[in-house]
Amino acid sequence: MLKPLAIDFAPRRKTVRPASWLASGAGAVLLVVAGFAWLPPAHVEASHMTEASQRHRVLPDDDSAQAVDIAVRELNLPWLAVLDALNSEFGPGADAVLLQVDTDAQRAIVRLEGEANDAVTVQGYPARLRARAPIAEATLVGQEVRNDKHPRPVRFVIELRMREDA
Amino acid sequence: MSLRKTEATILHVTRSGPRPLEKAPRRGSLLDILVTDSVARYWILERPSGLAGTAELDLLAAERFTAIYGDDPDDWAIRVDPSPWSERWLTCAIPARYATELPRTAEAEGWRVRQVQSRYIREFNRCCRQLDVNTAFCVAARECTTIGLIVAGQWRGIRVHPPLTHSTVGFDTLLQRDCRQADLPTAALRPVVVGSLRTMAD
Repeated sequence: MLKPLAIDFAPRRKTVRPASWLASGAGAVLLVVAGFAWLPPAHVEASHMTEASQRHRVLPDDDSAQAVDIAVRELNLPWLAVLDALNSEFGPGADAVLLQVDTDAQRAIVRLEGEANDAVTVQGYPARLRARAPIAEATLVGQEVRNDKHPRPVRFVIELRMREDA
Repeated sequence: MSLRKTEATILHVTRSGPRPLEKAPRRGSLLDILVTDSVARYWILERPSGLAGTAELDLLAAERFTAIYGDDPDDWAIRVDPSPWSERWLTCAIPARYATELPRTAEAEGWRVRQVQSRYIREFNRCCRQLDVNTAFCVAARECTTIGLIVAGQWRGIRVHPPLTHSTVGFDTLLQRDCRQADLPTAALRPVVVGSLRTMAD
């Protein structure tokens, strides 16, 4: 059995096959049936929606609006990206470990407390953290060198400000 | 609209040109233009390697056309059947006026042109489902005899001869010559002959 030759010199045009017509017709019938099945409940739902919208047409007051704005702003902070950045900098094998992380979402601030092997490492952290995309600013707030035999004798506090447009 | 396959009127294009074209019985009536093999040109295109697109294929087909027939390809409409399963592609050319101007005239007369094909292509497509992969498919018509050789499903050669009524030799001899030309043993192919003069090939 051989295949037909695809040689035809007729001008190219979009052909409509009977099967396509049949499928289109069945689709149209289905659409009409689905439309009739959906219309009555839609009418009822629409009326309820109208009543509901009239009942709740009262605008939120300033406090509520402000609270919503704050919540949205906090949710929009790059939390996951900051978490990834901290994981990279202070993850396994790093020269420092984090002991505590506090957040002030309203100010977009993350406060890190940790321990490091030496002071030079700690002083390099702000620049390294600033290089991370979700972090707008990193400041070494304080460091303390303990003279005991602690494996990581330098304690430090760094404040990060998250980038709000990230 | 009927779901049955709609029949089309056939407009025969002979060596002396198209038969007179009547106005369509109703607007959009289907018309198939059937061009005699005596004005068509056939050849086999070896599948090239590294073909970038259909434009390159058209250029290649036009170049081969000029090399074989020596005519200007701009005056001809050329079509290739670039089957992905085949290493040799049947290629056909008909005078450009039958592929462009004639359909335009027909559409101006209210016809809807469905096909423009040469006789051999049309007959082959009609019969191909019943053909063996080793076949000499022949169309014995009043204007010419066309013999195409297919081995293992691949086109090996195609030639257009004078009609059997005007041929100095019989069909068997024509087939033997074509097979020899294509370096094929005649016995390897099963001849299938269609057309109005098919009985003369028996």
